[in-house]
Amino acid sequence: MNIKATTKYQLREYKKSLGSYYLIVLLIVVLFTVLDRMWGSEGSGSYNGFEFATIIFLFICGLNSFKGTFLMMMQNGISRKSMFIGASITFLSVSMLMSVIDRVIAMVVDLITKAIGGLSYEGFYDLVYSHRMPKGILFELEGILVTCAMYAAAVTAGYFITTLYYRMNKALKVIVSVGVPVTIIFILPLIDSMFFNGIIGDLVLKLFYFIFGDFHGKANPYNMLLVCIISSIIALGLSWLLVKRAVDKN
Amino acid sequence: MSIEIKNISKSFGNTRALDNVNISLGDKKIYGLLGRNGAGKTTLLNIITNRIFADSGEVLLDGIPTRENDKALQKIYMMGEKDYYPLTMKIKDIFYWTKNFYPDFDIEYAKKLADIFELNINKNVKSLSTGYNSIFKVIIALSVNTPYVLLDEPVLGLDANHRDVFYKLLIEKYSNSPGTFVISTHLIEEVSNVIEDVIIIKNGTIIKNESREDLLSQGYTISGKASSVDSYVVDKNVIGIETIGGLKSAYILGSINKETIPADLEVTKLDLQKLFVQLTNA
Repeated sequence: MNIKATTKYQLREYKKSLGSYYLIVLLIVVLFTVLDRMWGSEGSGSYNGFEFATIIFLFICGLNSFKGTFLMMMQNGISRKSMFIGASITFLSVSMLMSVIDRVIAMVVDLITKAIGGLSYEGFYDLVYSHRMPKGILFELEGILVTCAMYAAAVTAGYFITTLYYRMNKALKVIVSVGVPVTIIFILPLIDSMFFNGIIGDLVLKLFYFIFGDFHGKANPYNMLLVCIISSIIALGLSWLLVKRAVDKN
Repeated sequence: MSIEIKNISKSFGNTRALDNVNISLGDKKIYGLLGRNGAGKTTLLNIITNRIFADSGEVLLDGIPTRENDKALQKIYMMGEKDYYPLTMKIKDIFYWTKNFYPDFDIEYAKKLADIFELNINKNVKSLSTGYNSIFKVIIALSVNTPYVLLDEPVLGLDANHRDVFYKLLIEKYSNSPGTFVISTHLIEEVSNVIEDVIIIKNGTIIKNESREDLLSQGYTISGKASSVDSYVVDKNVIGIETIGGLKSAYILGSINKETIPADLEVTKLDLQKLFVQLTNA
């Protein structure tokens, strides 16, 4: 199997996007710092949310990861299996790399804030799970692990959606594009209230609490980790079922 | 070494694109894969290279199925009519990645060919004209050094000069490092002097698969005054007739007995394109 070449190629596709993304993040950090120096929050303000931006970025990357690569691999005598293994390695590598970079950004901005004052930055992990233990190596490693799993779940979800759309014909695409949101937003709540007495809604809320905690300092990051890992495995598993029968639609 | 295509059938909806195709592509030969539009040529090449799947049958390379087999697929390069390369990628970057996937790809030779064809390798695929789009793929096909190279409409959009250069380079390549080339094309007259074996496909079925010499020696062309030709062909297996003014040419399958040919008639070899037209029109 030619996994090395296909992984290298797929990683290359992320190189430019990653560079642009972190350039924007850097500009935002600098902008916030400059604005704070100009109008001074006197250390009372904070900002956060880069991890959520990364999740959206990786989800979009996942959405753009299939068709072009698939055609290039078909052109170059690479099997679907090798391409898929290469994609999985790429997703894991990029998720790990970005979770490390995001933690480093959070730590560096924190250090700068402590040194020169101004707006403080709190990463997602600091916001939700800081009650667990004092900051230190273990805390940071746990943070990297959990955010890596979140990122992997985002990129694999994007990949699954794009492979699903690639395999569908036009009519099916329209049905799914309209049917899924309508079902989630209107039909499911209606069925839930009419026939299940709100049991489905309660289950969704329980899953939400299971992942994020109940916002009273009890959130367990390993619940999030578990859900993200299971979600990634399911997304990859379903993607493989779609990829292994994918054909050139040129 | 050979590629064996065994009992391959493929349908698209109600259209039968290939119907129980059985052929063998031997080692170090130049094949012409000929057929009319929609005959199934590209479908067959796409199945060989694992781009689409056959409904039934299998493709074997040296006895090993090519389906989802990296080792087998690495021995085949297909230059397709359509674009599989990223449109925004520069040609020089495509050369670089081709080297990654096909280690025997000769970048220096590719650059040399780019100079010959006056192709700017700093351009991206999107900015190339139809002709140069074919040229960059032809360059890769001639430099990739895989045992099997499949060329689907390689001269699409090429002007007469570039087509001439391509055929010369193909013969040069074949002479220096022989491999198996399969040329799928509509321009039969141009390739007829390049190909050794002819595979004619009609409505998804292989109707001829033999050497060009054998195919053309199965018949002959007789030309002359219409009335003389008409009386000569009475008991012959005529596959086609062309009339221009008072002159007539008849394409005849069967062995020739020179003693029976009237003095006012001229005998020439069967013309591949004419034979193809007659065979695929019937």
